[in-house]
Amino acid sequence: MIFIFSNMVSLDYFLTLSIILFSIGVIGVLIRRNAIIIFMSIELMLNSVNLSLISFSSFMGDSQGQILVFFVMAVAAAEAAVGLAIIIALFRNKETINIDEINILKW
Amino acid sequence: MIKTIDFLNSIPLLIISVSAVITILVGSFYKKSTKYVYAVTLIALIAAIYYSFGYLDKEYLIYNNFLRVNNITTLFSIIALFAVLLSTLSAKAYIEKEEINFIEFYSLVLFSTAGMLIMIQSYNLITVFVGLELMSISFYILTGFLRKRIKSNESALKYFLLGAFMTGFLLFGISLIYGITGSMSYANIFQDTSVFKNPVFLIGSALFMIGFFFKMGLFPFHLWVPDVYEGAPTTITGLMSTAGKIAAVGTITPFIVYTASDNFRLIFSIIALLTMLIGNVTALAQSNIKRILAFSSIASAGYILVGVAAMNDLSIKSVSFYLLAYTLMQLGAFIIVSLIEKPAEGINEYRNVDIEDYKGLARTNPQLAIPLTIFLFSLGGIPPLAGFWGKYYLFYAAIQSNLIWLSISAILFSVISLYYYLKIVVYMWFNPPANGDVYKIDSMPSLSILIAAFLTFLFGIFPQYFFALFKTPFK
Repeated sequence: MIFIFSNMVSLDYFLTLSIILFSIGVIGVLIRRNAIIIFMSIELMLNSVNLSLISFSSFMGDSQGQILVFFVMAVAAAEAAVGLAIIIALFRNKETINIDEINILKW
Repeated sequence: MIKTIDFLNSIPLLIISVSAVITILVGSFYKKSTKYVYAVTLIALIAAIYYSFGYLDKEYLIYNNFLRVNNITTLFSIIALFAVLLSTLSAKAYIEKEEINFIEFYSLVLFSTAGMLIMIQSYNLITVFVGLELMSISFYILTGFLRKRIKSNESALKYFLLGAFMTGFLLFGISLIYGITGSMSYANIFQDTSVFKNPVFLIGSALFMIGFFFKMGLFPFHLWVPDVYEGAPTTITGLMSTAGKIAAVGTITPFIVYTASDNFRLIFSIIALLTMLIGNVTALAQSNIKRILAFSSIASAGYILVGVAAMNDLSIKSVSFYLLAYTLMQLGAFIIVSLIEKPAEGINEYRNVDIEDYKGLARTNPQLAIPLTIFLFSLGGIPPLAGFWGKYYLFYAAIQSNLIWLSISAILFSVISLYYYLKIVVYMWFNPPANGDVYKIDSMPSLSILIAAFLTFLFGIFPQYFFALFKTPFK
């Protein structure tokens, strides 16, 4: 399906979209202050990488990129479980998830 | 197709991963079995080290070229396993003291070890990624293991957010390398050297390396190190600062040395210089011993990069020797810090980790002060100890590649570092005791301290024993 599609749209468009999404994710991590929104931005970065991997894979007719995408999705799920657990543990002690207020550790 | 012979050629990895799964299964049914799980963990680690020695001087590609066994990977695996073994030996006393004696602790340590082995032995970008994430996710949980303590929570959150952020960059690098070379396997990536000049490939490999530089704590990506090392449970700090770093260095060093081109030597040299500067100078102003050791670990990453930047035949040899010496001295120091630390009564603080608390330690607890002095001297690079030869080989490798200015500045920084190491020694030996506490030492931690101190002397006096392990020279 995507192979037919790829005859019309060149690789550049997929990669540009992927880079735009990645940049949105990076900017989100840098400017937002809520730990959960930062985490969502990180997920956006990972998914933009998935897009570029799949488009490379599809245009080269090689399956390795798609295999890595499955691993990335599995890892992102595991990371989400651990990350949210850490955020909950912190919220129980501190009652905030604003990272500007999470500042005990500093020299 | 996975062949049966592949299993025989990856016994240490199988032992570690199977015991990790078994321990967590047993733990979910029998909550009281911590003692047995501790024993199983130690046996698994010792068995893995024992079988790893059998792979020296061999050369295999296993699991359809996904993993590679050769001298370099075996050597780094043995050092990493050894670091995990030493820190697990001493961990039991600490986690009992802090009342976090759960089975998951050992299981997560084993999972992270499996990740390290996969990462070090990887011959494919997919296995690099999977191994790195297995190690990192286990470390995120272990960092926040003291879950009633805000510092531990906070350091876990910082480590997690920054680590996941950097994973994004690493993956983007992998996708660019894949897009240019059309393959994830190192065999195909390194086949055609003309691709190394392609700008997209360079951006890709730079992003890939950034992911590892973050794990190693090199200069622009070092900011998480002191915070996370201070907030994590002390035995976990020891584990992360040694085994985690060995895994990252062991994965990236062959990559850099294979793609070596003289054009990038300058970039690595500058990063090494700045890392040593930041690590050593900032450590001067610290008073918390965990933070001092954290900055010393940043500085050590800088010394390691001096050897990597040399990119010649001596690089891998000198880096691996330094990593072994670094494991002994850094981990030994962290084990002693974990013994001196007192359990907190409230929820918030790690107690007894300020260097003021180490005043007069030699008078009250000579059995802790003497080994700590040995480790600190070794970290400072004082001769007949292993740390001296570690630095000697690294700087020698750099001089062989005409990086004389870098070697001289590294030696100068090493002299600066003596100030903060010797400050602790002076506090311990030449000040009146701050309090009369005598710390209880169990047999297991003292065993690991003895091993570390003995090997620090052994490799300090006979460094050639280490290199005698290998009959065939490194590539």
